[in-house]
Amino acid sequence: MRGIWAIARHTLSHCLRMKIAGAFVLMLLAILAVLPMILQGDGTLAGRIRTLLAYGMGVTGLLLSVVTLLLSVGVITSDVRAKAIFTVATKPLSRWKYVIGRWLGVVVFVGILLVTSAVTIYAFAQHLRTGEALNPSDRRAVETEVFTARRQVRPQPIDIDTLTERKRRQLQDEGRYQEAMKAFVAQTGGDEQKARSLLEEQIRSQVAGTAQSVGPGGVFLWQFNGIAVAGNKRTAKGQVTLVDEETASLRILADDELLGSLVFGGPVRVNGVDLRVTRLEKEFFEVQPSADDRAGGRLASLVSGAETDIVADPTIQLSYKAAASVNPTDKLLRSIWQLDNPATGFRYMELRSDPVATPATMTVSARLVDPNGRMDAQYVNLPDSQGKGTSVTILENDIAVLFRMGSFEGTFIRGTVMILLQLAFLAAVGVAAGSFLSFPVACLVGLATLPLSMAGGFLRESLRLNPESGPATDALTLVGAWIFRVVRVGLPDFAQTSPVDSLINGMNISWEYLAQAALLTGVIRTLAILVIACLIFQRRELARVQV
Amino acid sequence: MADDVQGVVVARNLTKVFRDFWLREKVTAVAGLDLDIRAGEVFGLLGPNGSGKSTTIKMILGLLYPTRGRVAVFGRLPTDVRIKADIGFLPEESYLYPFLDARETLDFYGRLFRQPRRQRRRRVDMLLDMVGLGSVAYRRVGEYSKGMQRRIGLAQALINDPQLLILDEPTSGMDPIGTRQFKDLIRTLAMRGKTVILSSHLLADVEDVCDRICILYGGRQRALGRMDELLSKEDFTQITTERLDEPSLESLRRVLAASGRELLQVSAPRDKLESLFLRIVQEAQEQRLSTGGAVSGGVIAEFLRPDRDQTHNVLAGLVSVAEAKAPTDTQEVASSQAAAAQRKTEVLRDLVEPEKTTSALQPQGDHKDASPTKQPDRGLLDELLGGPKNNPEKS
Repeated sequence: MRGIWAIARHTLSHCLRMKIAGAFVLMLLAILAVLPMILQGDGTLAGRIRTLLAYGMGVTGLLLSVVTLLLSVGVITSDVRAKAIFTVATKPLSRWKYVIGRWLGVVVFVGILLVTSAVTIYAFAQHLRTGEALNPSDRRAVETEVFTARRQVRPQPIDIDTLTERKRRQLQDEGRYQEAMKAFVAQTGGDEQKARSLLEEQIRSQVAGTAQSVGPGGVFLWQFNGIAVAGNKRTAKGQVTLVDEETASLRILADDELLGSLVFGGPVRVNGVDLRVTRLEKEFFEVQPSADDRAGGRLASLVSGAETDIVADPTIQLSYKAAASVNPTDKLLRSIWQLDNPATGFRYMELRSDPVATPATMTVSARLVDPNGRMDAQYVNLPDSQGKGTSVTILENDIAVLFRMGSFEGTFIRGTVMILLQLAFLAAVGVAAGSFLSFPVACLVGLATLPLSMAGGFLRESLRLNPESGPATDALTLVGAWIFRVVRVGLPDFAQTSPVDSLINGMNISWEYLAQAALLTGVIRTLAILVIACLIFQRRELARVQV
Repeated sequence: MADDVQGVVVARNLTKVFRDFWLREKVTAVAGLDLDIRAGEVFGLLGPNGSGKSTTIKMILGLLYPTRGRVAVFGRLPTDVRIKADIGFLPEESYLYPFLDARETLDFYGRLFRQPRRQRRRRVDMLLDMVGLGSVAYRRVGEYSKGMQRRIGLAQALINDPQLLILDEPTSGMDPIGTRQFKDLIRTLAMRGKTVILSSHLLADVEDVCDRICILYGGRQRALGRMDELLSKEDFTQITTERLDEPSLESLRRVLAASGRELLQVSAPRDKLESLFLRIVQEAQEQRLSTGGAVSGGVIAEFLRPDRDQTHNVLAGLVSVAEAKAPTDTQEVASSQAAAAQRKTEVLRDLVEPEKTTSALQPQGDHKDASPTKQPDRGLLDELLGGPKNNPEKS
């Protein structure tokens, strides 16, 4: 290990003196300073912070990827070109240790740059967090949708297979299936197998679309499993300080600890009544009980100066996006949400108006989740203000229950480690290319890896080289498919494993996910490439015959 | 190969063929070379440009692989990492890292030998002093002159106190002082039983330090043997004495003619430019004139010197060799010219008093075992100088 570390130290020293570190930090600071000013996102504070995180981490990842490739390619090729390798290879140091040492040195160097960058971005984000939010909803989004680490569960998937089978039988009974087959056979030039495949696909697609849409007055039903509620219930005493009859709101003074566990728009129990926080300040919060509760219910005794029991439950969030087949005139979709705890029967209902095709989030009490982590949700599609209705579509991937799993800081650190794993992989590619190619050629190979890793999925779609789409028909496609297969196995999909989306959406990056990425990218792929690099370098002649 | 290995470096039928991209044979850099380099000898590889010297060295070091034949170093393949702990290598140019300073450079190479920090620091200090770069140790190597880079290159080759030192064109770019010190160092290392392989164009350097040489041409071995065997001219005798006037020369001619020989050349010996240069620089250094470059240094690092008991022998050996060399030695330049004149007088007295033996009759040479293989024709000398004709114990 001492030999490896000696080479790694030397590489680090080399990189630090190349002034690339200073240039990078200056560039990053300039970008981070300018970005929040020129990119306001949607104008909200949450949007600005998301923009900072997305562009900051994105730019950092991209810049460091290029820096990593250039450095890792250069560390070995420059030694061979300048013949400094003569004095190193004649020392008692195995060549594989030299290769690993060079790789390690580059990884440590870019790791330092990455940490510098991440700390800077984090500091900028925290600085923005202290800024003024556009409205309470904006503040709530900042705290509960950005500076958090949530996990999401999707509803139980629709049983498309059964529905498709049912639809097929129906069509066959009606004789329409046979008619459609004839049309498809004619379209495919007599290839019955292909025609059947196309027809089945179409039925399946139609069934999936229908299952995820409801007409006016229709109802969606979802069942969620695996919801893990974090945090404990908080109970405290509060004092009613203001009763506003005009707005029918109560202002309640409470201690910091309780106020810290409430969220704007989130649930709170006052005197045993489930209410929603309509205003949240440093020293008090406000609720708007219904007239029934105020008139004769459990809140009737609450007058100014009265003391009351307050319970703040842990919360979960329901996130969804509804699309309309025809846009309502006011572009708002009206709905009733009904959430049920299947074990206790505890129910929560809310009337909502959401902009069309815009992500919406409801924060609700975690009491809706039973001890097995289950919750039922129901969506009723209401007609608009003029009594007209439209068909509403909520795709399976557009609805989820989110619950807090950890801290933003933990996710930020794990996300940074994931970027480091990507950089370590790229460093291995660069070192491998530099172990037998000249600098320009190795650079070309290394830089070609970057778009393939970052946009592998997109390229696969655009090149129509999806290996699952069936056998290739011509030689070129066949060769392309094979190349892509090799690339897909050898290269990690950075787009899929990028932590940026998780960070800006306040989603948790779990240790398990990190370990999986570390195993696939960091251990298997990186190690395999390093082994190849070591084998090549072990066997190559390091000098040239000069006669 | 280990079973037939006797020497430090053994090569059999060593051949290197350079092929082009299409694997067509382009040029044969080394062809069928056999070498047996023994422990403790200073071995010279000579040859014109492109004769295969560097290629041979690179095969010995495992930087190139033989096309045919085989080479073993310390009985193992050159690619074996274990042997490299005992090898020091100075390439034909000092391929160093320009962004490191001299101290960092040596520290880096010391780390590759897994030397403990304390030992590494001590050796770095001693080597920097030895190569005269102690005062510029914190300057980047990239800012050094070529000669200074050679010095630091030499220091890195010695950081591990190697058993086998391979030097490719070691004195190229070095000033005469550095060259002189370098040659002294090789002698010292050889006395400690180290093996040195030296490749050089500078024949004088090779002649001064090597025990055996191999001359290559076109990748093939053209001559191999001991230096004195290859260089001695058995048919000639050379006498050096005080300036002779014409009558004395005439009487010499007569004596030679009487024995059927002819006086072929009469000339006044000239001082060597090297000696003149060394003298001037030494005077400047004694006056402490400032310089941004290397200073003389020259104190061989302690860890490279023989041990205490051996030191006296080595020094004695060095002194005796130096004295035998007359005006070309550094130490002699440092001494007064009177001492040189005194020695010259003694030599002459020995010549005119043939009953006394003299080392001045021995061939001038530096290396430790440069004992004369060719003795002067005592009979003729005795006849020339009027001494007894048979005095074998004084020959």
